[in-house]
Amino acid sequence: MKQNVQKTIKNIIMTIGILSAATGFCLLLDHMDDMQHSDAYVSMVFILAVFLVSRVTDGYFYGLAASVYGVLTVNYFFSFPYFEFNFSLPGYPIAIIMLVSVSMLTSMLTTRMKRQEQARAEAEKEKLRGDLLRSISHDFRTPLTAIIGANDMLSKNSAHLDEAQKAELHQSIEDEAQWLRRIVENLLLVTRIPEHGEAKIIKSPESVEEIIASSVEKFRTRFPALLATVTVPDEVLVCPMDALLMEQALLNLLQNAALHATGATHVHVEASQEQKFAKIVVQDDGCGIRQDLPARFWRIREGGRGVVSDSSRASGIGLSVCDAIITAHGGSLSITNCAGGGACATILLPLEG
Amino acid sequence: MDYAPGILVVEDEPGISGFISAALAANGYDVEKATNGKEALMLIASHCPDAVVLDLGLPDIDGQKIIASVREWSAVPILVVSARTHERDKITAFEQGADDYITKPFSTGELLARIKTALRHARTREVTQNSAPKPRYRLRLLTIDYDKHRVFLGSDDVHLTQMEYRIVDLLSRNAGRVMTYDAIMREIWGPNATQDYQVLRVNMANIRRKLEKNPAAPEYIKTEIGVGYWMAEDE
Repeated sequence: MKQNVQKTIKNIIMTIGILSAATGFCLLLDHMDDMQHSDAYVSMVFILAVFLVSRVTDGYFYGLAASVYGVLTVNYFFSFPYFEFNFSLPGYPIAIIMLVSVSMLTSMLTTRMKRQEQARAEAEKEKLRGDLLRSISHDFRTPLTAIIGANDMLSKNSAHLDEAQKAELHQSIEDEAQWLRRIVENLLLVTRIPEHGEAKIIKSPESVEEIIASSVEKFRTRFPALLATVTVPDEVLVCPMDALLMEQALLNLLQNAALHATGATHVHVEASQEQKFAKIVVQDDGCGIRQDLPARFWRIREGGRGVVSDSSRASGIGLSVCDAIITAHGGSLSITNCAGGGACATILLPLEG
Repeated sequence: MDYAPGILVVEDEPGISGFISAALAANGYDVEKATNGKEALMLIASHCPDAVVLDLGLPDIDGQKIIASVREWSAVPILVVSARTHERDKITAFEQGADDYITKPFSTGELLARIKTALRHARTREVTQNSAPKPRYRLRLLTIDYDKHRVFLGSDDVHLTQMEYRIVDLLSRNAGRVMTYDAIMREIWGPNATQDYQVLRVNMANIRRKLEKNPAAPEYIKTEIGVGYWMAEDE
């Protein structure tokens, strides 16, 4: 509804703008050559104006309105008798027909073109969605198989299992279920990241330390074995953001450290201000990122957001969702190996104002 | 436990309802189950459970409506368990009067801990209703003296502005319970307060800098992202 109103206003402004420009241009030329040769170009200028209006606006209405305006203006201002309407001029009906046809044909072509573009975008989106669904159902099979298998063992063969084996099976059910949970959390949030042409994410000013605190606390309950520390500056950093999305982005980075950084014992999150950005660094003391991981990650980014085209599960979606979230906020994410060993993810988020 | 507190589990998925009930029964609660909204409303009215575990997505009545209609006549603790993670749903539930909101999936440990908290709240509420209000809030180093309007960390007097004190006062009196941004704005800045939470955020950042050792790892006042703030329960 609101979008429609905006569209209408845009169309009206465009129409008025182009017609005023055309009228002004003709008046100016007219003034310069003292109305000697106005017949030669005035109609041409208005045909161009009608063409432009039909091209940039939606539907037929504005083009037709512009041709009516053109016909009347040419008649009133620029043809003898000046500043008077005279509908009995020779060739007048032909001028009207020409202007109206230009407007109709252009509007028709424009509308058709727009429809084709839309259809192409839709098809593209459908394909992406299909790819996403395919890879999700593929990726879900592995943990589900493990869960079903482990549960089957526990319920049907428990007499043949010793306590350690049982504990191991329980643990594997737990691990796989947690993996599914992380993926589902991310998938759900991806629906909040807008596609091209959709409304933007809803941002409100949030203080960075609250988001960090919340994601670190969630991380601590999920991975109590890892030490997680935080430092924030004295000044309050406020960035416009979708708080839940940003919390998930940070949680993904933290979880990456816990899940993929072999040997990591400590994750540190540090926020600071860097010019007009809030800088958030997530650093671990693990094995660092493999040389090929960044390349793979960036490939995922190019291949379209959220596409889990990765065969080694879990390494792709967390980072690509994180990247999509930060990009949607006008920020940037970079991942490097830090000097002291371990991986180092740096987020830059535009500050408010 | 002298008597087993009664818990009503309102959930239409038998799998979820089953494991919640089993966990509760194993921990000494008296469990009843309802699988739809009508049944739930009837059982709450007739059996007066000590707490209600409520799923929002029921087949007949939306869970939010159930909270609202129960709140018209009863203060029984309501713990929402829901697959809806959007902050809008949480805000609505809290504003209708839910005591807690747990998103699926959750562990039984988490659920049990939160039921315990809700039951304790209900008891303290009853006690304070029948006696003078508590003179102070105390947790670890933090003491809030309601009579003198002063806040201490250990023996140090913490200088809060009037606004900051009123926020801390409000949150501490509702300790353990999420207060939505809107509710806090209404209480502190009046019913015509703007929808702009910026001023609240800045005040909170300042409060945390005065009360917390690390404002990004708060131990007294926590944030429920996108929903509101809550203060840890006092001792």
